[in-house]
Amino acid sequence: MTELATLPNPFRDYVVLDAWQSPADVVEIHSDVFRACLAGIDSAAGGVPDYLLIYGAAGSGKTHLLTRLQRHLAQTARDAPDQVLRCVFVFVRLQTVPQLLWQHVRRRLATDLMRRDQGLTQLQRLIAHQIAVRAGKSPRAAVFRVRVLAGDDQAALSRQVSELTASLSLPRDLSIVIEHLTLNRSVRDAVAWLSGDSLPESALGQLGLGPDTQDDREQAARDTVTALCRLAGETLPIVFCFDQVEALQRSSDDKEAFFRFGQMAADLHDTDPNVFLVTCLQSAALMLFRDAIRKADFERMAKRHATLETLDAGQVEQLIRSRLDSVPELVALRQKRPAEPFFPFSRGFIAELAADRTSCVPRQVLSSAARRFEELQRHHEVDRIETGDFLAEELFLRQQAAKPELTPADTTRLVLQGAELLAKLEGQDVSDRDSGRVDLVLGSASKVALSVCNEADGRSLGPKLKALLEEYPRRDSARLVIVRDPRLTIGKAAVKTREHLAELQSRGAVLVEPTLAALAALEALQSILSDAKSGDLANDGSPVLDGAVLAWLRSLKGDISVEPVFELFGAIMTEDGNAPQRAEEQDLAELLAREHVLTLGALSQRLRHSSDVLLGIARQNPERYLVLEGPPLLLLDIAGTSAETGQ
Amino acid sequence: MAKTRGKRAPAEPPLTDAELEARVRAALSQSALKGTDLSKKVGKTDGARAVEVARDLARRNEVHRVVRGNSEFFFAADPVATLDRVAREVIVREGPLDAKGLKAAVKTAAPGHDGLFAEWLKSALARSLLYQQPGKSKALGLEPDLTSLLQKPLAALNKQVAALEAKGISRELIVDFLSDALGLVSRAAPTTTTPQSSSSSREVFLSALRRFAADNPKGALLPVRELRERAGLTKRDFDAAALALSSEGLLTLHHHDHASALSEAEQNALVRDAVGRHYVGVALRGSA
Repeated sequence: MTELATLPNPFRDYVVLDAWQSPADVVEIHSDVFRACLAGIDSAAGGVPDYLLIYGAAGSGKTHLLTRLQRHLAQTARDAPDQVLRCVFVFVRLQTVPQLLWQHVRRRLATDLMRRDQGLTQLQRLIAHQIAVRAGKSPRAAVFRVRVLAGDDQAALSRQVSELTASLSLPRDLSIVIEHLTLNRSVRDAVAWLSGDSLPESALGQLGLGPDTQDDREQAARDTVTALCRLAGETLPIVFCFDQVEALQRSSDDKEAFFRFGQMAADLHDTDPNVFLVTCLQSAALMLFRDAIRKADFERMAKRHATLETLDAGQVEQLIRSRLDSVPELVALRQKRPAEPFFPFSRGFIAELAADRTSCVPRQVLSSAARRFEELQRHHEVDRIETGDFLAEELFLRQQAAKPELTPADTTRLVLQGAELLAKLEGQDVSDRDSGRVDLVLGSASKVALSVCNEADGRSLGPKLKALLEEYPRRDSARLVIVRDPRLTIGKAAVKTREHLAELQSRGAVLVEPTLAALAALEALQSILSDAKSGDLANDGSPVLDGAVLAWLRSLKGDISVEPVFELFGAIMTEDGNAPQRAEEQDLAELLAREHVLTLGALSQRLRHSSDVLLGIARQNPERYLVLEGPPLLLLDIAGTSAETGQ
Repeated sequence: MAKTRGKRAPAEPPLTDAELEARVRAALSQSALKGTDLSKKVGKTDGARAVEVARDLARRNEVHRVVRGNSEFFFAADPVATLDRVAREVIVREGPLDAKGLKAAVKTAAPGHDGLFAEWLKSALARSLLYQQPGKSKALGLEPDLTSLLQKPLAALNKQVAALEAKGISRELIVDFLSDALGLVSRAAPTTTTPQSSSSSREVFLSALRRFAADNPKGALLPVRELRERAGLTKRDFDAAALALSSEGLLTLHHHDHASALSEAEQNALVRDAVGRHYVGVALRGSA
């Protein structure tokens, strides 16, 4: 069968991870559950909040169904005579820790509001819609106006946005950010603020916002999300699709994570009458989820339920046909063989795929077909990849993909997830409830109080360090470890902040700066583990469970691929303190973070420190600085540069 | 004045054999069709050939053909099996229905099959697939309504049992006697294990499932653990009934992907099949 040898395998991509993907679709599969989704949107559009809980086995097509919903909503809007937004769609894959739940939802909401269609973001269309409805005008005209803004129109539109946000009593800072984003002004910083990033005072000033002194970032995130729901829900339904809820769990019997999710979802449900929430769960989580969620919260969720059923023989045939139809060369080959409608597969093979109704899910069908297709291409059986090899390849690929994407905004999540994971591997206790203002307390006999301090500058970091100082030494004698992204520096003008840090270090606290390699490896590990917990990690169609991933990770200790992660954890957990950073070190870090590359002479002149001292610091920190011997001798900030270029 | 006629649309070129076969299959996958309707559906140019193609497919056992009088009907799958499955699904979901109601529901769920309904219903009753309930409605259910059918003898028996108990004869002895008299295995005799579910455990299972489903939103996946408590059956009977009803397509069992991580007690609360797969949730099929 040489005619197949060069063709692409149409069955290879069988894991859908994001509702914004567009995989080949067979609308007959799970059509009843899709109708339940549409009914929920109708309900929310009519001013009655709704909730749909979808259960399905691993690989049954939960995320795939959400892609169908997303595409349907986008297509419906495009096909409508006025081509305006019909619904705000938000997809939230819960790859985070429970204590950052609202912050995660805020980030996802901001990301999806900034998705563009036909030149406008979802947020711009939403604002245009609201302005038009308030003015009793056509939404299409308002959308057009936002698209072709110029000159005086900007001032008028700015006024209308202000009036709109004021009428909904939105907080001042949020209103200003919405105005910026509607008018495409200072978009990068405005999106960062909307996502919950900590911004330096200079950027906040540029946006016209007040200082970032939020003590409780979860509460701030909750306030922003609910305010945005009020904005959207004023005239349009807003759909939140929660996927991979199991990824929140620290262990397979962790009820606390589900409990917090239930509270968050119930809060969101009560925010606005135009909200529709969809939650996808693995069937295996059924009992734990029901047991963990507060009864009142579950009753809100229990409005609408659906289960993804296994495929029948007809649906299996449709699924196979749709993939075969996606390759034109295969279509041509099949046309020459009318008696073999599933060429290159036999009818018998298709019947086998559907034989076991109890486990016949799309992913299983597609992976079996992928394997068979490959065998027909190669004329021999395809070896199964060992789990360890499969995970090693996933780790490598995901690390490469993560490096250019990671920003300091991801560091808090990654460090907390990573510390919890590694503490668990080492058999250490973990607690995220602490009166001493830290994020985690790790360890059993010898405790570590971990605080991730990723505030952008002295203005926001200072109060946090001061609060830590007030509680240190701690009553439980835990050693304080402060983790801060190396790309965030403390400016020369932040004298008090530097003093607080130095004082903490002199009392025994440790400052740990994770390397980018460690962060990228953590991101890769976390995404692998989250997929495994949610049944979305499949090796040749078979789910790879989180237990297998943890066992593999244990076996990797000392392996070069995850060495930076274990080094980071070692730095957090070991007793060795580090000397307080000198002013010269902080100055050099701060200036090079801004300028990325400078000659040693220029650095010495601008910082008024000796060249020898600065060169010494650079040579002692090869992970942070690259020294090019010259002449002239150059110093490069590797952390900042590699973060931006993905090197 | 002469009428001006619009230009006639050019006739469509005839389909190739492969295209025609694909079109026939597609038409039948949506609905069973009478030969003449299939012909119309495929179109003027190829209509007559379409019926020939369908007959050819039937000869190859790839579609099903039923002839009644001068009419012939084509089905994508065995129509009797389809009606068996669809009727049971409908009754599980909606409870017993009269023949008219069942026919209407079947017509929606299996388009084109209603023409065979009357004939199929006779066979379904004869095969004990369905039972007609006593009373005016003559509703059709999956289990016989023994409460009504045995109402009089049961009342008489209860009266007699009370009299016998007053004379010191225990209820257990009476049950053993009745078991022997009815040709059933005595309670005292060792029971033989059978993986198949008895009709009574099926009835108890279905009844508990319907009640449990009614207490939850439509389409909910129900925990096997709680259903087991409600049904009150032995583990063996409960599991057998669940697996049998699942294989008949009346309900969906959702398996647990990592049951091996559960404790033995937790595993025992789930349904286990012959290959060792554990099921955690149950839902009535087609109830979303």
